[in-house]
Amino acid sequence: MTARQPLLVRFLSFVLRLVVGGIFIYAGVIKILDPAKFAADVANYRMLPLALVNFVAITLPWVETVVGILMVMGFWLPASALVITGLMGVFMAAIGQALARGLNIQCGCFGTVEGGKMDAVTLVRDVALFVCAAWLFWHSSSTESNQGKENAPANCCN
Amino acid sequence: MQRTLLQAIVLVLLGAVLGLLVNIVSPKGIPIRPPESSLNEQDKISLAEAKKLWDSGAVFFLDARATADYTAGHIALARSLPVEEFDQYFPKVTTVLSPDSEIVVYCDGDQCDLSHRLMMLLRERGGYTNVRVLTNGWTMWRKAGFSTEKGTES
Repeated sequence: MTARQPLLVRFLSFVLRLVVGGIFIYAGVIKILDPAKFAADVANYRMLPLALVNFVAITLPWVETVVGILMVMGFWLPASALVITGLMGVFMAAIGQALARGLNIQCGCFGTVEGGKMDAVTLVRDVALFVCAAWLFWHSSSTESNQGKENAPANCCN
Repeated sequence: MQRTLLQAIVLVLLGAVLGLLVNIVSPKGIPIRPPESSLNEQDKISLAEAKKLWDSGAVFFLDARATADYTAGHIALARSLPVEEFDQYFPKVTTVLSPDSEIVVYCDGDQCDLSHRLMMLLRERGGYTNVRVLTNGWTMWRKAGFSTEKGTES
């Protein structure tokens, strides 16, 4: 099936994998380098009980990095795209509620690298990433299931 | 689909376990559960007391937030000392402080710990002992209708 896909679609999928995966690796590594700063950023969102803030700050950047690496490599693609889509959903909700509550905070999306305050542009950026990740999930899932059908014996699934 | 879900769960668990393991061995590791309240009662100052001190003029207010926040609005007469750029701003602030100066630090939000971190830095690095935190200072001060100003330091 892959071979029959238009070249443009395959190219788009490849580029999006590199971009989305690359952004996740970058965002993860930056946060891993300064967990205390990221914990402060997480706390600023005022979404989680304080007892959970550090746990999230410790684990989330590694989840981001792992799924980012797998996405770039194209390994377990539907699963990594699914996790990234889910994470982007959570991030959008977090940013949306912070903006709605008028919290004047840093996004924390890219650790200390990003100096300014979070605004609507942050949300738009996240929506764009969410759409890309969701498309990659849909595209890789359908590709995989079609491959499964093609690989199956001819009389298997009638 | 079921396999994808299972793989997704494996990925999340793998990341979480990696994170926890690295946190244990890393010198930058943080406690998994933060202490209940690392701010003692004597480290805090009430809004009323802070206002009284401010009126008396015998106090320095230090804004622990980023400079952009400070410029957008701050407690009148407060100076900017963003925690993230402490080393850069600290020498400027020391010129007006003396070791026994009464200092009130603040940031914004109940859970904002910038002011707490600034208090620790002032004590440990500057030797200032009379430092207290006005929790959720900017919002409380503004809502109380007390004097505020905008822009950079004069």
